[in-house]
Amino acid sequence: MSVAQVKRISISDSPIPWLLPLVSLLVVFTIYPLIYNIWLSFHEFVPRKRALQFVGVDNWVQLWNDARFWSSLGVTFAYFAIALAFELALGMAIALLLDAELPGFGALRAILSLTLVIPPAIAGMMFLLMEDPQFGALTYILNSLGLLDKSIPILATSSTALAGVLLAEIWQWTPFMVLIFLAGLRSLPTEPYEAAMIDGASSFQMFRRLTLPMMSRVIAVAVLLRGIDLFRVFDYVFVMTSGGPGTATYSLSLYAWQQTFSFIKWGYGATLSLVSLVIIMVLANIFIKVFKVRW
Amino acid sequence: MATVEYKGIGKSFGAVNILRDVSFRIEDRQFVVLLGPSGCGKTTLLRMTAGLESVSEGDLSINGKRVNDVHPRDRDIAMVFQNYALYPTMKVYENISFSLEVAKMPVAEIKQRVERAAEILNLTPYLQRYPKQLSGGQRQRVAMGRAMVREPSVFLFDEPLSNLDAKLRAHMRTEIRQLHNRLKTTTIYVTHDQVEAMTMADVIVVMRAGKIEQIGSPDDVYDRPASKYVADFIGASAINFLPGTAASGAGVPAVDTASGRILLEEGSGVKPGQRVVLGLRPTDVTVAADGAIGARAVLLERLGHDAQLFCEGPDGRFVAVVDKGLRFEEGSEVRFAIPPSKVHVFDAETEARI
Repeated sequence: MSVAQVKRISISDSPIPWLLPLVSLLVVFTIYPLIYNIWLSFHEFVPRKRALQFVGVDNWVQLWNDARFWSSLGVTFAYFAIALAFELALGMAIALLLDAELPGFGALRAILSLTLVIPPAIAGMMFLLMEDPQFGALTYILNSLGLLDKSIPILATSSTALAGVLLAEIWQWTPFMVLIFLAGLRSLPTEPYEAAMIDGASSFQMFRRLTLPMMSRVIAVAVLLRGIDLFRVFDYVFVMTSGGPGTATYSLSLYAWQQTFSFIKWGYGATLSLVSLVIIMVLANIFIKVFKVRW
Repeated sequence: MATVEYKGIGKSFGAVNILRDVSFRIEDRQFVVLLGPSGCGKTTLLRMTAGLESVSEGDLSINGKRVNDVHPRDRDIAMVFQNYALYPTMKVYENISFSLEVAKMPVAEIKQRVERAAEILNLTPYLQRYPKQLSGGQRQRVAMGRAMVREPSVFLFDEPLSNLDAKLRAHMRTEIRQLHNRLKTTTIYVTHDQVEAMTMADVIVVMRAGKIEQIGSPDDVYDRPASKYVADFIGASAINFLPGTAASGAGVPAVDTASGRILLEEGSGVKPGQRVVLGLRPTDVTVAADGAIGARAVLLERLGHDAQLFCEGPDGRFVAVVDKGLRFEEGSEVRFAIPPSKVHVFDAETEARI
């Protein structure tokens, strides 16, 4: 390209030169894989022929009748709902505490973001060790406090395994909520609070009538960001339980991964991940409608 | 109905003294204006009265009861903030009713009070709107409604009109004053606008750098300013200052300035040879061929009902309010007559009134 051509493009009024780089990236890495994925869900890999074969809606029918799919969907929903509830409530509570201008709180806020620099797989490993039935620190503490029977291995018992995984999840991601909420709290105007103080409102009334409504957009963004992330949970369950015991912690992403890469059922794996995408889109849009989220 | 009393009030933020030894008393039903430039501590004093700032020194009493450590909600006050401080996520109705709801007043009575306030303030059509859907003037009225419904014993206003345009400001000025005439609630009103102070106040408290400069009725403050500072601050058109020396000998007291000799009233208390500064309001001087002082005309500024004549004299700029029909040649000499009773005399050193 000559200098004159570059110059002409750089002052062009047409949107195309400006959008082209990003659009091509989007097409190559998002649009094409999505379309390929949809196409794949109507095919299946046949090892005998070493080729993909058209199977019509077989994958979708199989999905509907697959008890393991429904079980993994249940696990994913439970994981999503419990983690989101805890992260929201804890995140807001800690953010409210840290919002005060007290000595040392600046350092606390900085320390808080440290959990976010640990790769989730490593955090999973840490909790795997801490929840070890014989020498895990967390197991020891829970045993000593009488909260957990000594004979119960947390991650190997179907009734406690999901909670064990959720501990790692909530530990690592609550600070993310705290940071978002702190940023939100700090941008709130102070005058309405002074007015409310004169109007006689208690701290709780101020929180419920002023802080929560004024923070609604921030909370909505946090729920969407975290919710989407939670729905595709993979790393913690993969590292800590591999979905076990039984299917107690088998999430939808883990199941899709297993079908695709362990069982080489590419078509069925694609179908499972498409379902997951559709559910996230539907849920996110319902949330946006119901809570009137405006960007 | 209440009195408010300040006794030796001081306020410091760290090493910075905002207020020093402020003492005065506000009587029941008075409309008191705290007047001063920004940074003089007037807003801080108001916020201390509200309980939003702690009192560093002295005693603050409302209705004879010391309230230094009393929570804002227990002071029986209501405040209108400069930026209105409306609750952005509540409708107008809820904004006004919030304090009553919090006080667990019966719903029927809340409704009645809110509707009455809305009627007085012409807010009835807007009760179901959010603050951001209102104009500045309407928001201002919501803030007043919120203060009114509580029927407090003291109203606090923190520069409530400074965000409004000139016309609306003049309109709201009269509305607030009429409201006070109707409700008769003790009111403390902070402003840096001397017009607001002059038109609304029963008593003006002029403040300067954390101290009280003068307390008095608008007429007192205008006619007998306690210092050069007050004389400069009060008055629609800026006062002229002429430095001079008291003349000795002659029968009546007089002051010699670079612009000419100015006669003072009998018994004005200046000592011969004393260095003074004379304050002459532009509205008090008249153009006269045999006037005591002279200056060169520079510019005539028509104001509609009259005109302001800007002159350059030996003592610097000199301004006079004159008949708008008069014509002046630019650079020509104009002489002004000065009635002795209208001359304000200040000590050149202390700047206090003599």
